[in-house]
Amino acid sequence: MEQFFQQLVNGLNVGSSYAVVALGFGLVFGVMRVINLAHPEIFMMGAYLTFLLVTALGVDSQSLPLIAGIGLYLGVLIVVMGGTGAAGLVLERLVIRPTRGTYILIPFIATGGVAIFMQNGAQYLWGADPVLVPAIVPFHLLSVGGVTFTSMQLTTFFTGVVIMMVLRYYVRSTRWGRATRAVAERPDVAAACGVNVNQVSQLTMGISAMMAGAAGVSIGLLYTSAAPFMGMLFGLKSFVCMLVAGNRNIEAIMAVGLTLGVMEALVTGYLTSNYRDAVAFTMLLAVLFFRPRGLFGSYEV
Amino acid sequence: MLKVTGLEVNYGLVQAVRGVDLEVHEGGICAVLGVNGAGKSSIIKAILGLVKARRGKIEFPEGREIQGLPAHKINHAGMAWLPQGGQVFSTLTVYENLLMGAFGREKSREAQERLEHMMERFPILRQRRQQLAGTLSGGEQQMLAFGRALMSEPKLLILDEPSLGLAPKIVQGMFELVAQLRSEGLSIFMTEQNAREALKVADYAYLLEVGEIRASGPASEIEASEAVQRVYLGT
Repeated sequence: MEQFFQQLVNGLNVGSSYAVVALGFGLVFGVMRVINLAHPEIFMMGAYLTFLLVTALGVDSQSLPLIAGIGLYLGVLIVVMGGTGAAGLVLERLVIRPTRGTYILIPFIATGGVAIFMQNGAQYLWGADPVLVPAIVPFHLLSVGGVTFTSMQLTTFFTGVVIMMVLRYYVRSTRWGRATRAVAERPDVAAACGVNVNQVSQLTMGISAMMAGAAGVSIGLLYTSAAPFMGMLFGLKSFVCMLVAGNRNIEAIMAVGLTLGVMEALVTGYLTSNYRDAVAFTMLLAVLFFRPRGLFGSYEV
Repeated sequence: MLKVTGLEVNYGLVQAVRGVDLEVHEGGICAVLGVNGAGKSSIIKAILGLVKARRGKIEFPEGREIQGLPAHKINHAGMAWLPQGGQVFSTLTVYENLLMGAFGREKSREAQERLEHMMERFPILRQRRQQLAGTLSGGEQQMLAFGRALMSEPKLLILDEPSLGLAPKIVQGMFELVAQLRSEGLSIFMTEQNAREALKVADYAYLLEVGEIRASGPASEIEASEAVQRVYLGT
């Protein structure tokens, strides 16, 4: 039984990052009708920026008090999010805006090109092997009722949850969030209501990229590594989460992301880690068979 | 208020609007009548800035050329749109839909007053304010769309086939509302298939056929003309 809760905890961790990346995909697809193939690479970029920052800081995490470590982590998070957010805006302006239109395939291919460029760029700059991302939050072990988690795991999880909560608040209760939903549904009518659709697209893209960056920080620190092609599988699974959830509401994507993380952990723990990557795709197949419009409805899957 | 000269709109190789001139006078109701496919929606989309006209000049509100401007700027200049079928934001609540009409100014006191005013005018909206707009009936959605359009306190209200799909009794009420809005000083540009009702309330009318204006004049003249009687009024 303890094993179950342990796996649950492990799974929620990674799951929160799956959810964050999936939300990023979902936002851009919902608002701009664009599948941003470079989204996982922005996630990868987040991990590499973390690597650069933390190695540059050169801090020995174990020598820090916990609060300082977390403070440093938040600083890194903010800087990385700023960096990836800016990258997202550039991507929107240079690649997505000129190629948007009736054919979903064109921005798909264009961003795919950017993805390949980024992957190879990372490989060129830092080699094909994973680089070590040093720890920044001092290692502490916490134990609650037989379940152990590390300080890093807790930090990652809370970051993911806070980000998702902030996004949810933004979409539901702010003027721009409202405009975002309106544009996602009827861009023409929204424009005639006085909404600058290009601005909303940019904003959405920036938010999406910041979220991917944040997930990159989390995963980079969690697994203490960054690699040029780390975005591919992770991004694919997050994309599957978006498809399975149906991209109608935020809560659905959050739930599916967390569930995927947990299921992967359970499969790894109880069966074998070889099957871990298959979970996402099994889930996708099941949904395509039984509820092709996504578990919680909407949009052509 | 609104002046359109030589408007041409293409969709690829198809020319939907071929050199249309029209004018909406301040404080009046101008109707463009035509059957499906005559080009009415294309004219509206070009005026609103949702579609780029191939050629033509659009002046609003007084001589300022707005052709080529993005739609949100044209809205800021004082134009509001009631799309065909209402096209409410179904994933937003009734209240949020109305707020979208006042986008950018939701917090102002005028907006809050306007909101209150809308709910008085359309009491059903107050009742359903927290409901998702997609759950409303067709007539209610049309009312909501009306409210949304009025929230921005426009100088010119553009109605795209406002009676489409509505029950006759509701259609009557709607045209009464349109007349009342005129008496409140609003200028109204309306396209309609329902010529009979539209001509009753309009001041000036144009007949649109296959992208061209075939006739124009004061509504009473158009109504009395033989051609209109035969083709549009079925007498």
